[in-house]
Amino acid sequence: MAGEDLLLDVRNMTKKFPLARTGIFEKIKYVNAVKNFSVSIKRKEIFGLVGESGCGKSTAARTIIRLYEPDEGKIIYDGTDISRFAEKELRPYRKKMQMVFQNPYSSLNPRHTVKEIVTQPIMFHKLAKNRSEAEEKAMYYLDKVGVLRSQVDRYPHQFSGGQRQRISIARALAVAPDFIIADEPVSALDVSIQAQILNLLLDLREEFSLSFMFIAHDLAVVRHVSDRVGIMYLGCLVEYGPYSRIFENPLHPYTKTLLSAVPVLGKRSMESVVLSGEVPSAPTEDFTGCVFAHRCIRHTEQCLKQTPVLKEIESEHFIACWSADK
Amino acid sequence: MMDNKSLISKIIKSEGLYNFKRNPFAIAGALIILVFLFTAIFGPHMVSQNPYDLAQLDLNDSYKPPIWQEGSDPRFILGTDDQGRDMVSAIVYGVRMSVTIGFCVTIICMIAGTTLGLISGYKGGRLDSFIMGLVNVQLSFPSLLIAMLVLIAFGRGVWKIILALAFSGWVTYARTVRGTTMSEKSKEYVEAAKVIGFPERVILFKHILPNVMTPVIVIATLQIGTVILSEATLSFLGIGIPITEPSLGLLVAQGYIVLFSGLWWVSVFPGLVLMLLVVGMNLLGDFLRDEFNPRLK
Repeated sequence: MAGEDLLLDVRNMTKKFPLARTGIFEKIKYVNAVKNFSVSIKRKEIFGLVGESGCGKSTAARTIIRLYEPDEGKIIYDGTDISRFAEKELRPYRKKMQMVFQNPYSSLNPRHTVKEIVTQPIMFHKLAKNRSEAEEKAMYYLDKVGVLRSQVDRYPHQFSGGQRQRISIARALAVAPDFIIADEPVSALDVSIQAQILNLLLDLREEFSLSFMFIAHDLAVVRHVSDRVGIMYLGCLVEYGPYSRIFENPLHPYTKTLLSAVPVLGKRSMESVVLSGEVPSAPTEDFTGCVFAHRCIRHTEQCLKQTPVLKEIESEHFIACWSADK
Repeated sequence: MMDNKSLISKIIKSEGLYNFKRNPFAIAGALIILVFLFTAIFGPHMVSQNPYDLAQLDLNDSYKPPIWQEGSDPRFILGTDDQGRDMVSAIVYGVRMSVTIGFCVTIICMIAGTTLGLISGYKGGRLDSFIMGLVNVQLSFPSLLIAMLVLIAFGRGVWKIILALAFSGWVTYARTVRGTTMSEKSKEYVEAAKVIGFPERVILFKHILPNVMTPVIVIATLQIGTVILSEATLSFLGIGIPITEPSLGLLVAQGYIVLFSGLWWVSVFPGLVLMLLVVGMNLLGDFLRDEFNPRLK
C-alpha cells in the first residue's frame, strides 16, 4: 500500500479506557474504545469515517492526533511513526495535523478575540517574523473562510454557530497543516449552513492541498465530500474503500443495514434490513469474535469465536467479515 | 491582545454596569471603598499629626474628649487617647494599616490559591489528591486558630501577620478554582490548544485561567472584609501587629481598657470606622457575587 502519495498510515491502533473497578481486589478492566484500527490516507484525499454515536469515531480521531495515547499500534505520518512521541518531539508534527471540533460553541475560547484565536498558533509555531505579520496572516486565513475584517476584534459569543465553525477552521489552517481531522464539523449546524461549511472545506482542500479525515454520523454528508469511506462499529473498522464502491456495493452486513436506512430520492431503496436488539456497549479487552456477530443475520460459529481481520476483497475495498458474500 | 478602547466600551455597554447603577447598595459599597482607599493612600499626608512620632505627642493632651463634649481641645476633633494622640490621625493611620493588610493578604491568597487550584484541577491524580488533602486538613481547623499558631511560632510583625492570614486563606480559592478548572479542561477549546501544541503552562494560564477568574474576583472582594476583621481580632487579642504600627483592631483594643471609665471615644470611633469598611466591602462583594452567578438572577 505504501506509495509516494501516502500521508498518514495508521496500523492496528488500539485505544483502551479503564472501567470503574467493581471491588477493591478486582483487577481493573478495560474496554476497547478503538480496536485494531488501520487506515491509510493519501495526500489531498478526503477520508470519511462513519458510524453511529459511541462507536469510537472521535476516540480514533483523538488518538491519531495524539490527544490520547494509543495503547497499541503505529501512527505513521509522512514516514515517521509518531505514536510514541513525547509532546516535545511531537511539536513539529502539531503544525502539520490539525483538528476541527464538533461543537462550535465550546471549541473557541470565550475570553479571546477571534483575531487572537487565529494569531496565537501562528506566533507559537513562529510562522511569522513578528506580531503584526502574524496578525496579517491571521486576517488572510479569516478572509479565506469568510470572516469579515471588521469582525475580527469580536469575541466568539458574538458569532453564529456557522461563523464560529469558520473561525475554528481558520484556526486549524493558521499553522499551514497538510492534514485536518474534522470531527463532525457540521452536525451541530443548520442544514443550510452545513452545505456552506462542506463546500468551504472542499474549496480549501483545493487551495491548500489538504487531506482530510472527515467524521460524521450522517451518510449524506459523507457522500457529499468523501473520496473513500470507512464504516465503524463498536470500535472496529468493519469496511472501507472508495466511496462509490461502498455506497453502490456494500459487502459487510452492518454497512448494508446502515445504507438501507438512508432514503434516496427517486430511487427505490435496496431491500431494507432491520437489526434486532440494541447497540451493546463496547467490548472489554479480552473479547474475541466479531463485534457485530450477535446482531448479524448471517453469523456463523466462526464469527462468535474468531476476530475477523480486514482483508482486501476487491481492489482497495476492505472488509472485516467471515461470512460476507462476494 | 485586548485593546483598551474595546474593553472600556465593553464595560460601558455591559449589563453589569447597568445593574450596578440601579443597585444603591452596590453604589454605596463602592463609594465607601473608594473613600477608604483614598484615605489609606493620601490620608497620612493630610492629618495634623503623625500619632506614632513621639516627638509630636504631648502627654498633657491625653484623654481629651471629642469636640462636642466639655473639656475638649479644638485641635482634636474626635478626642485623644492615653498618650495624647489625636484620634483622627490615629484612625487614618489605622485605616492605612488595615487596608494594606487586607489587600496584601487577599492578593497573596488569590495568586497562591488560584495557581494551586489550576494545577490540581488540570493535572488530577496524585498531585490533586495531595493538594486537596492539604486543603481539607486546613479547612478542618478554624482559620483564626491557624493564624494564631503561625503568629505564636514566628512572633509579631506586619509581614508575619500578612503571611499568617494568607496561610489560612488560600484554600477557598484552591477549591473553587479546582472545580471550575475540571469542568473547563474537558471543553474543546482546551483540546484545540493541545492540538496546536501549546505547552501546559500556556494552556493553564492563558487559556483556562481567564475562564476561571469570575468566582475568584467575587471571593477576593468578600475576603478583604473578612481578612480585615481577622486581623483586628488578632490585634485585639494582642498577638497581631506591633503596638508601634497600629491597625484599627489594635486601636479598639487599646481603648477597650478604658471603655467603662467614661473614655468611650478611644475605642468606639476606630470600631465604627472598621465596621463601615467591612460593610462597604461586603456590599460590593455581594453585588459581584449576584452579578456573576446567573442562578441567583
